[in-house]
Parts: sequence; C-alpha cells; structure tokens
Amino acid sequence: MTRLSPVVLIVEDELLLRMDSAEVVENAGFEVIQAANADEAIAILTRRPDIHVVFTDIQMPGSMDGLKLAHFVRSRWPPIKIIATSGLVRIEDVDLPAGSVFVSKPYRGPEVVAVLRTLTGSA
Amino acid sequence: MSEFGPIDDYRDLFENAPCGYLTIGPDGRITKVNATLAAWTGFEADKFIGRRLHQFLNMAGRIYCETHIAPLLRMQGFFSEFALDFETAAGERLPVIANAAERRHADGTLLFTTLVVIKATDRRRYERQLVDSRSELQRGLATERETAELREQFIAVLGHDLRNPLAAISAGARILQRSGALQQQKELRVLDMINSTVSRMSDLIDNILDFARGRLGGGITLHRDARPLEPVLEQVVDELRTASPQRLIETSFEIAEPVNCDRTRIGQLASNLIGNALTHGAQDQAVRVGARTDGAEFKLWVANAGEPVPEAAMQRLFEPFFRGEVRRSRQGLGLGLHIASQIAQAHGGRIEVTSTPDETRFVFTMPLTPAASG
Amino acid sequence: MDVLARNNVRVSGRRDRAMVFAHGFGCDQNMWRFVAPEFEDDFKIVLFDHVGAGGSDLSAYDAAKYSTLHGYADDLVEIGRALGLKDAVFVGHSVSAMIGVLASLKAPDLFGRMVLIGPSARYIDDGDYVGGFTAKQIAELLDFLEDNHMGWSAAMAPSIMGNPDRPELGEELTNSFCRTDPEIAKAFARVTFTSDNRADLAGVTIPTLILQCSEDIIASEEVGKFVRSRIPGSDIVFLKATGHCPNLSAPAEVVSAIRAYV
Repeated sequence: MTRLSPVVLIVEDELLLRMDSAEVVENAGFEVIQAANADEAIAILTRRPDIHVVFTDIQMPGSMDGLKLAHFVRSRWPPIKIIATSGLVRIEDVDLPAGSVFVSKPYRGPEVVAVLRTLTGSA
Repeated sequence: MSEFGPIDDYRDLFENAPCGYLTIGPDGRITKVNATLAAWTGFEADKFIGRRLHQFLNMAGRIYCETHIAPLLRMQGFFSEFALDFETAAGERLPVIANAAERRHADGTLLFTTLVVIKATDRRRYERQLVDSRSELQRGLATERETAELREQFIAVLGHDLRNPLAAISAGARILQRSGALQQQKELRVLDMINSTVSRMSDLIDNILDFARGRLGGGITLHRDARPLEPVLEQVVDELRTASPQRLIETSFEIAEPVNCDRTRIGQLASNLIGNALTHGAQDQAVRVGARTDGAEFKLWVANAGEPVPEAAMQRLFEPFFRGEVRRSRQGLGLGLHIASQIAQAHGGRIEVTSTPDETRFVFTMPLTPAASG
Repeated sequence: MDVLARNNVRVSGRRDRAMVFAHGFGCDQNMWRFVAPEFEDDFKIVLFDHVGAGGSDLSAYDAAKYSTLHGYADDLVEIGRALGLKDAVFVGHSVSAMIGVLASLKAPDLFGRMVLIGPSARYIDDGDYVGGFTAKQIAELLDFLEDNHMGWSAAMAPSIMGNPDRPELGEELTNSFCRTDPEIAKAFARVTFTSDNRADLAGVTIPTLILQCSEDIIASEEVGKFVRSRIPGSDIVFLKATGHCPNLSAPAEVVSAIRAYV
C-alpha cells in the first residue's frame, strides 16, 4: 500500500527546532526531508524533483540566508511553494516571492501544519 | 569727545550722542560723521569724509552692504536692526547694531542716507552664542537619533539571539515528550520543569529588553484593545501554579466591563506582582490575587502574608535593580516591580503598596477611559 | 511640483519674444522693479525667484540639489521649458550670470542673447587669478550672515508674499525683499562664493554682453574683463554706476545699455 504524501523540505540550522518541526509535520502525514542550511537544501532540491514545499528559516549561516534561498527556489523551480519563518523580521519588512507564506517564530505545530495543508491542497 | 555745549545745542546732541551717526551723500560718499563714532573707530572725523561706508567695514560687512543693505535701502527706503562689523584703526572688530534710512526729495531724488550705530559687543556675542549652541544642539539631536536606531536594532537582534536557544530547548522537551520513551512520573515532571524554566528564562529576557528599551528612551509602547482580560490573568496564574506547585494562589476576578488595555502587558504586570509575592511572602501561606472594575477604574491587587516590607525599602521598591533583603536563593534581577510600574504608567495608572505585619498588598489602578493618551 | 509656483514666476508684457530676469545673491525678483517694466512694451517679461528666495516655495529647497549652481541652472531650464521659451533674452545679475551661462550650456536653444550684470566666474583668489576674496573672508561672511536673521521667522514665511508697490502694508513687508530662511541664505552664499565656472565660459555660443560697474567690490573690473575674455565673441560695457547693484542704484544706465544690445 503506497501513500503519495506531499514532500516537504525543512531548512533550519537549529537542530532541535528542525527535529521537532520534522516530527510534527511527519505526524500530520507529510514526507519530510531535512537540510541544515541553504547549500544543503539546494543540493537536495537538485537531486529530488518531487519536493512540493520548502519551509525555511530566514536567519541562517552560510552562503545564503533563507530569503535569498526562497528567491533562488522560485527562479529555479517555480512550482515549489514556499513558507518562510523568522523570530527577527516581520512580514512587512521582508520581500518574499509572490504566493509565499510567512510564519513568525515562535510558531506552533498546528499552525504550520494548517499552512502546509492549504499549500498542498490536502486540507 | 568734544566739550559739552548748552542743552539745546543740536550740534552738540549730534556730535556727542550715545550712538554713532553717519550721513552719506547721494553719490555714496560719507558727508558727516559724529564724534562718538570717530572715537569708537579710532579714526579722525575727516578720515571718513568723502570715503565710502564699506571701507570701514570688514570684508563680510562689505559684501553684506552691497548685497543686502544697499538694495534694501533702495527698495524700501530704510533698513533696521542689522548687524555690522566696523574695523577700527587699531585693526580690531567693532560689532554694532545699525539702522539706516534714506531721505528723498518730493520728486524722488535721493538727498542723503543716515546711519545710526549702537555698540553691541555683548549683545552680538550673546546672540552668537545662542546661534552656536543651537547648531550644536541640532548636531547632537541628529547623533542621538542615529544612536537610538542602532540601539533598537541591537536590542532586537539580542532578543532574537537569546530566544533562539530557548526555543530549541523547548523543542527538545517536546520531542522527548512525544517519543513516549519517558514513562516514569519523575521523568515526566522533569520535562514539565524544563518547560517552565524555559518560560521563566523567556520572561527574564523580556524584562531585561523592556528595561533596556525603556531606559534608553524608547519607552513601553502599548497595543491596546478591549478583549477579555480574565483569560489572560487566569493563564498567568496557571503558569505560576505550575512553576510552584506547592504554593497556593487564590483568585477572585470580577471584571464586569471591558478594559481597554494591552493584555499582554497587563499579564506581564500581574505575573511580576504575583511572582514578587511568591518570592517574598510567607512560603506557607496563600497569595491572593483579585481584579475588578468599578465604574471609572480597573483595579488589580496582589496580597501576601509574611514579614512586612521594611520602611527604608518602601521608598525604593520600584527602582530598577532594587532587590531588598532577600533569601540568597531567590535573588532575581530586581526588575519585575520596576517594569510593572512602567507598564502601569504607560496605561495612565499607578501601583500603590501597603505593608503591615498582617499583609503586604500591591494595588494597580488605571482609568477605564484614558484621560490623555498613553 | 508646479515649476511656475515653485519659483514664483511672474509673466507680463505683450510680445512673443521673452526677456528673463534672474536676481542675484541677497534679494529677489523685486530688485528688477526699476528695470524690467521699461521693457514691457517690447518683450514678454519673465521674473522669478530662485528657490530659497522671495516668494519661492521654501519646502522645495533641497540641500543636495542646490549645493552647486547646477541645481539653480536646472530650475531655470525647467522654467524656460514650462513657458515654451526659445531664443529669449537672459538678463542675469551677480551669481545669476553664471547660472544663466550654465543654463544656456544645458539648453542652447533657450536663450538667444545674454546680458550679464556684475558677473564673476570665481570669487576666491586662485594663484594668478584674482577673484577678490580669500577663503577666510568667505568663511567670515558665512558666520556673519548668521548674525543677521533680519527678523526671519519660519512662522512668518507665508506672509512674506507682499505687494511691494504698496509700502503702506507695513510690518509684514519689512525687509521682505532680502529676507529668507537664514539656513538657506547661508547655503546659497556658500554655493555662490565658492563656485568656479571659469571652465564653462568657453562653451557659450550665444552673443553675450557684460555690464561692469565701477568700484564693485564683489565683481571687480578685473573679474569682469576675465569673463569677457573667455566668452567667445562677448562685449563689455563699463557703467558709470558704482557698487554691485546698478539695476537699483542706476537703473536708467542699465536700461539703456540693455536696450542698445537687444
């Protein structure tokens, strides 16, 4: 019995936060891939064509932060939906690709799951 | 100064007036000067005759003469209260205030121009000091604004950097809880303690950053609404009960009317007052919390039993970092009451405290309708 | 931003060919009151105030834009375009002489002839070039301007627009011809007296007349002759009038000199 669950890529440098979010999202019926930074995320996205949503933190170390990653993803793989999160900036101050969703930290599991369900049409 | 003549000798009044006089002919050359001005400038009167006014001024005065004084005289016939700098024979500056007026014939031809000057060393110096300090003030204000912006950014980043690891700890606790690997009562209690400790740390960070913001001129900004206040107060009490399960907190809330306030901030105020009571009150007695509206005001009080607050401490309770005499184990930063009083003020209210051997009571009162904003 | 309102532009006279008057440092368009009307029968007279002077819109003052004379020259070109001027006569006094030169370089079709009264391509001495002032003297001037706010009050600014032909209007009009925001006055003075347009003179392609006064400490004969020597094909007339503002002190002489040239 195969179940085609939407695939979510979670990009977050804080390990415990990433693990917690991954568990919550998996328990809600999604397939989860994890990346610790933008470089890892791009490597994964290049290998796997089946990712539906990228859920990324904005403040991350490395060559790109989450904002640049979001724009990169939109330009390379336009169909992929994007959720961005941050505890520092506010929605008014960020310039996300059109159709992206912003969630401010601290976010609650059910909140993120609800957004994922809307974005993947599996509400 | 020439000899004084009889009192109605106009010539004498002219020559020895307490001000300088100059008359300038229609060709722009000086025709008369009085003894006073000659004495002030150190030039003999005959040195003036036939020369032009600007020859006795410094360069700035000369330019000003040509670009402002002469045109204004020509266009409106007079010019009053302008500053001018003469150059004395000794090469020194003589600052004056001057009035000038043209005299014209009925047919419009210029007859002469009179100039009256009054020494104004002190006045000019005073005015210059005013101008200089205003410039300095403006520069200072600009720097202040820049610094304030940088500080605000710093506080925001600091808050974020401090809260991130806390969020990670909470996330870790959630993971453990979900895993079902922890079965023992004791182990589950440890998870609860992790959560409540993280919560305490988070409040501490909030208080510190509030303090930093408030002290650095930002102040506490409120986001007011009239949504129900009771659930917020109930939640605050619940969290404190969880953190101190062996303590008794009794509540009595009768909030009959909507309270227009910043609920998060009032919750913070309540939490700080109750926390203070738990820390300093008798450990084996209940802390009583009540809130109600009565027409014009909203009141929130927190009372505890135990040793009364010493008289000396009463004056200083709401000062930042004031900790009083407290058991070593529970020091805290001494900011809770200070922040509470700031929140009270921001709402146009106040906190009063009474302390007797029977009970210590903090009462927060605020008007239901803001008298003047904020 | 309405250019004509910004610069308090006033147009009068009956003809097609325009004569534009530009005031210099210190005052506003009212300084042409004895000269401009003399040409109303033969020209369309255009008077205006530089931003920061007279009845101009002070809120349009931008420190960065007006930190060089080019900002003022751009305004002059804008006014010309807004009025559809072509081949007009330009009469510029003092620093406006150079402003006019710059404007004609930016928009060569705007003016057909120029009359420069008391021009100076550079005020501060430079090696062999005698501008007439040292840098120190200019610094003293800027300080001195602060000592003379002339009753300026930001609150009074809107009421400065008076009718200069009716002096009985009294208090509000006192000093209004030369009074402006002291900060702007100081900035305009700095821009004027630290300007250097010697290199721009050679690019002028239209007939130019220089009116030079005697005993003008701001723009001496030497300075006027320098301008004459660098503008190709230009002429110079030495006025008997003394001082820097012959348009006020000897208007008849100025009028006939201009009339003879146009």
